[in-house]
Amino acid sequence: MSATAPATTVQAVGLSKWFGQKVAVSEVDLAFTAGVTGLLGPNGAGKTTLLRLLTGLQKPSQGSVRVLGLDPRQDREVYQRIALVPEDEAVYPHLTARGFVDLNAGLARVADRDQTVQLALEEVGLADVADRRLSGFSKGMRQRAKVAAALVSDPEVLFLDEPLNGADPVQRAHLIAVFQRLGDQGRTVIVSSHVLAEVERMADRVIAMIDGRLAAEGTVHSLRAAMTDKPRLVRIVSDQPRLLGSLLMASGGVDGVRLDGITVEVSTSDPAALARLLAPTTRQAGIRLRQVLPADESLETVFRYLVGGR
Amino acid sequence: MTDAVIYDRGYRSYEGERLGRAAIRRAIARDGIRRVLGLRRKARRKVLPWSLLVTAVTMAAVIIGLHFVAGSISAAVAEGLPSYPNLFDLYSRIALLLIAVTGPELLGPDRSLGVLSVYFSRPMRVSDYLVGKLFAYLSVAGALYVVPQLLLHLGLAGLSDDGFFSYLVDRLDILWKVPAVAAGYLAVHGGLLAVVSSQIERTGFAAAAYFGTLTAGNQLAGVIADTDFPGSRFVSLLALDDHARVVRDWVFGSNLGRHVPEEFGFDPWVSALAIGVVALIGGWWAYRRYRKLA
Repeated sequence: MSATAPATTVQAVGLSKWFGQKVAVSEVDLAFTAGVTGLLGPNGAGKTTLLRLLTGLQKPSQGSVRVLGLDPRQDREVYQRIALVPEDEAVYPHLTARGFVDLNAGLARVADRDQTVQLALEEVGLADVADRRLSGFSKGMRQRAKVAAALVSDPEVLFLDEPLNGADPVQRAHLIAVFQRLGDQGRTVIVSSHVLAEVERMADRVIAMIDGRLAAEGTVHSLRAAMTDKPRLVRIVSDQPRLLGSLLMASGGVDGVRLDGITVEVSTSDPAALARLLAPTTRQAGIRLRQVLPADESLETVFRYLVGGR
Repeated sequence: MTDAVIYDRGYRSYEGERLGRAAIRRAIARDGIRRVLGLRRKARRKVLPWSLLVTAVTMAAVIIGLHFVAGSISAAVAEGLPSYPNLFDLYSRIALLLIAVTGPELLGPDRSLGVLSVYFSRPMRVSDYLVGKLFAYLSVAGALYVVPQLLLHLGLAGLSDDGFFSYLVDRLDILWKVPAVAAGYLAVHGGLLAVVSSQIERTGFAAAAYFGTLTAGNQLAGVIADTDFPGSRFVSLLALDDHARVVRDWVFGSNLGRHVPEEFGFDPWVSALAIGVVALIGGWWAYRRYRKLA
């Protein structure tokens, strides 16, 4: 396994899109590489518009897009190498799953359709029900059929707009595993979602959008680390929480302490100093520590910080 | 964004055979034909298109039978029976119904179901999409016009006293007249269908608009053209359905009634031109609309 510089597969430079007075995407600069990237934001943040711009389905008001080095608005051959799973229903209810995927294989100009369609259906776990009409499918199954339809062209770059909408927990887990596998294969998988837990589970990197602007990008951990102006929360479970809390407050090394049963939630703007303080303090007081965990490195916390009072 | 290192995990993009753009058009056309004919759909979706197609073929068979019976009585009686232009008159009514009910299915649901983004995120252009849809329309509606005429032609050849092949050789003109007249009907109906279906998403409303424009529009154009205001005769050119009938009579040299544009002094070539204009407007309209949507 040789390490190579990450090649940029999708790039947006100064990308903006406005509809009349409404600015949907504002001066976004982004670059995507292989792996799964989560596009996160509340409803109306501009995620769908951004995906439509990146896939060339909408013309930018300003800025440019390059996908695999090509402009998708100018060179439609790039569509042989990418695929989109749109947020809309986007299936024909009268078709079977196989029929729908087969139609997409035709649109993708795939030569060996039977085998390719079967493989795509197997990939999303729909092979057993492939000959049932989509009208009889649950929403989650239809989502999987859409993903299969996208996979039929074996895309290098896959754009998925809220692909887990309507999927039950088992289907979600299955689809997340599929996306991770696709990312692990070296494809660029860009998944939009407003559900934080989903993005956290599936994405190597996160891009957060708020009001059409890029709010943050990076791994969840690096995003949290970059927020130096926000105090960090550390959850400590011990046998003497009340004593531990008072000692930490007396030391002056923490900003605040909150007790919750056997747990002490400590707020600090200098986690490293807390780490240095914790061991001698507990040893001298004879306090036994059971667990020390960062309490605010979840994507939800990060996102709450980013969104702020919005 | 690019501070990480991505390892080469072995993914290689698909290098198998890719077909040409014609494959996309075929895929769209195939899907369109299935949709219009209700193939692989519930039985109620098949009832109307198939009953109309069967009716069309049956009518051709009945006319052949009538020629057989009449011919055994007298050649003069057989001459008076319905033939190619009459059959067009009958089929245009069947086609009107078939296209009204099933035609909007070709375009409307793609928009209402949000499937357009599936199409246009593939290596295709708006023209590929529309050509595929056009091919589906021509395949079904064209078959409705041409297949029964072909059956009639072969049937009459079989009944001919001159012999099968002599009949065919003597009437080679039928081989261009039938397609030419069918093209006229298909163009005027298809042009209007393209405009209506591009604008109206709900298939029921699109069907009503199409049907209403062709039937009531014909009558209305005649009434308005008959008024006294200056240039009112040009309104008769909006009798779209009659243009195809004028061209039919022109091509076959038949006279199956006076049609609105003729009543107001327009020559048949004007009707042929009007058909071309309607087809061009329909194509341009749909292209412009889908360029925006794509």
